[in-house]
Amino acid sequence: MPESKGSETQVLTRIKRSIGVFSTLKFVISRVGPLLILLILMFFFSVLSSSFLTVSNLLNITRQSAVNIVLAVGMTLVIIGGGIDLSVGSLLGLSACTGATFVMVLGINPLLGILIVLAIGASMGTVNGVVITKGHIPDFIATLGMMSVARGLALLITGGLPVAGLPSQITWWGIGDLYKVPVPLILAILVSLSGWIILSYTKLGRCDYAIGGNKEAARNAGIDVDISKIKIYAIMGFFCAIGGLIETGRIYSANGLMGEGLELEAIAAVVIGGTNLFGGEGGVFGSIIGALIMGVLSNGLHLLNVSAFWHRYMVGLIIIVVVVIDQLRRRKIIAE
Amino acid sequence: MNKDKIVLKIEKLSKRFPGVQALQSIDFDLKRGEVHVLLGENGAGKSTLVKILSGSLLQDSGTIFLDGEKVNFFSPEEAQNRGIAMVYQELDLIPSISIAENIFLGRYPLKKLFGIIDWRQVYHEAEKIFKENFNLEIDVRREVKRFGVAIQQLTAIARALSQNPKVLILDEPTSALSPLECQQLFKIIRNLKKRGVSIIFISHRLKETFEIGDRVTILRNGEKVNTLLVKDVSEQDLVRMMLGREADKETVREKTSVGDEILRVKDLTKEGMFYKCNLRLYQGEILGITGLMGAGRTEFAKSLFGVLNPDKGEVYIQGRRVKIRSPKDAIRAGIGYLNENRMEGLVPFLSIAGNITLASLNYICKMGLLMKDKEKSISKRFVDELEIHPPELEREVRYFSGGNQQKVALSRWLCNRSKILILDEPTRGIDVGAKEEVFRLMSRLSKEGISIIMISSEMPEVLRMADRILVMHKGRFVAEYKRGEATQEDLLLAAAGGEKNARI
Repeated sequence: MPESKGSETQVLTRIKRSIGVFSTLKFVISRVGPLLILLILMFFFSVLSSSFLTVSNLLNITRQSAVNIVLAVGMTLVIIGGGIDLSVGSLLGLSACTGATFVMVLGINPLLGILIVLAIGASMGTVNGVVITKGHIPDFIATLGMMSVARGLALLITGGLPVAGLPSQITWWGIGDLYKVPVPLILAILVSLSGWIILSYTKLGRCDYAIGGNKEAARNAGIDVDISKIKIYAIMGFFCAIGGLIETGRIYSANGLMGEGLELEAIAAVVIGGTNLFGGEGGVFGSIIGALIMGVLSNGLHLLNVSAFWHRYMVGLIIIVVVVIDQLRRRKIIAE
Repeated sequence: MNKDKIVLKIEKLSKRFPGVQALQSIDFDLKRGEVHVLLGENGAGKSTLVKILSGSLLQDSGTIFLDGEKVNFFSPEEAQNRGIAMVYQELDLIPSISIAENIFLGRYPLKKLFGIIDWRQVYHEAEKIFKENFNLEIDVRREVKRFGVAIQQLTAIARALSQNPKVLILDEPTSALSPLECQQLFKIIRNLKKRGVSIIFISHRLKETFEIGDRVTILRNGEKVNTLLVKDVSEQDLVRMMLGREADKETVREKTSVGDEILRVKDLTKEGMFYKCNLRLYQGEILGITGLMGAGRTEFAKSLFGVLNPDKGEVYIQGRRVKIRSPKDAIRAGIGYLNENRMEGLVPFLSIAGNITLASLNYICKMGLLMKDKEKSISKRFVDELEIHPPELEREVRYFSGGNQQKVALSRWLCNRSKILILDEPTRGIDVGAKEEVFRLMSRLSKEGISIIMISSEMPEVLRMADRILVMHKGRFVAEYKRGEATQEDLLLAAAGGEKNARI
């Protein structure tokens, strides 16, 4: 990525020139702020627990965070485009349950089952996009509806019981290794890369930023806002399906309630990562850091035998603190 | 009543923002009952100065004296309590509540009993303010959004007046008003003057300085150039002081040969907005459309560009009928539209390169992939050609001045090689220098064969630039003049529907 690095340093030198060294420092801190929080957390846990900073535990964290990273990357695309997707947890559950049921009940080929999982995710995502754009319904409401519809379908399909005993071709995606690297980690990296490429190097990504930054202006520049949004939601749905695959492998089964609450974790990761919740600015990198912060927090607190209840409390606290800092920074920039 | 009494005095006021000295040791004073005009290009420091006076910003150093007493305002409320009221250029009204509520927002008169809002008094006081100051009787219970810009402007002023200010700051109050509405506003200002209110008046229009100002202070790059009595200066002096050099020679539009018909609009109608509009546009022609605020010009333009969908009518491009249902269709037909409100057209967080190429994504993309090199080289060409400053392709457009933003917005349509440009108020809110640049560019483009529809309330500008002028009144084209046929009076008369004494 020589190009992006080049422009990044260019941006920095320019900013340095225009607003002075002191502000540059503040700018850098605000840009790497989430990363700083992550490093501080990791330092903190490695001091308090000898088992934290081990290869097996770090791999464990990536395994645990993979689903969140995948969803957070998709959510970044959606939020940059000025939208929000509350249905990701349910879509994850629905796609996994449908695939698992096809494989276990109808006895189809597991690889075909995987394709079904992906197809369900992408098409339900498309439905989200179509309902929002063609039905002129706010993103929030449409995906809130989908959240419930997909959850209901997942429970109906499975009859409320777990679909267990899945073949290893499916569980491999959640627990397998490829050259000693956990498969979920590989998937998370691939999804992150594609998210980054979409945002930085494709027409769709540019349209996404434009729509989130100023929808009217995007339309007035001839951008087909509806098509772009539908594509973004379809990609989000596809990523949900990948998340579903990972999650199914991790718990050796699919059930109607899986993925519940993950939409909030994904949104939290995006917000912690510094993407503007109102659209138009942000990026994948921050969201990954955001997801990792939550993963490290959960893992570290677990190692320290702290109740899982504290985990939620801490995540909430971090979200609020990070957003408050971000707002102060924004206000400062606007004032200047 | 001592007319020369100094109400407000500023000594050595400085304010620094990171990287820029916004104000450098400014001295300024304001007399009782005077209109003091603040002039300067964008970025000269006018806004910073009045923001400090109205308590939105705090100075780094320097002193403010109000009635001889040293003051510091840490918030707008403090400034208001001390009798300094400000009307912002972007009117900060709430569209969905009534005029009266907007006027007293946050300061509702209360009934003694229980402390509930005394609505009768709210409405009564609001009516009184409109009657006494503006000599207008309007229904103050109606929502703000139901009124035009002029009344909204007056509502904002009414809110300021309801605080009984000693000092009233008006930041470009005329930028959205038609000439007639401006006259009305000036009458109101003269009235206030008589009652001893001192006014700081910011404007981009030099002519207004002579019409309404007593004294004028010119700022340039954060420094004060001079304070003068208006009667002692000429327009050229002011321009020279604002720019720091002789003014560019006014672009004189060369006589260009006009080519074949490129656009024909037949009976275009949108109920409630405009009716049976016909026009022809020829290659290389600049067609001016003028009229009063709310005459339907912008709606007509937006319909041509597909933002609005007209009810009836036909559009032909180079003799071929086209159906335009969205901006995408219009762009495909070779039409570009420069928004009346710049920020409606630009994406603030996107770099200038991103904004310039936004309507040309297909040129810079291959199989859906963005070719950054091509994006860079194309946008660099326009940044150089139009002298967009600072020439930093990756800088977000929101950090640029109004004039430069306008150039970015224009570049977008040059970049995608539009054949027909609809420029809606192309000079609104940009300074003298940038204005001339826009005009020069328009001249050049028309010479290169691009056809331009120039929509503007600035009648002198239309007279100067247009080959032909159409005047719109209440949604209809009521007059057409060839270049040199009409005077400003003719245009005004036609725009007002033939009545000389049209009111706001």
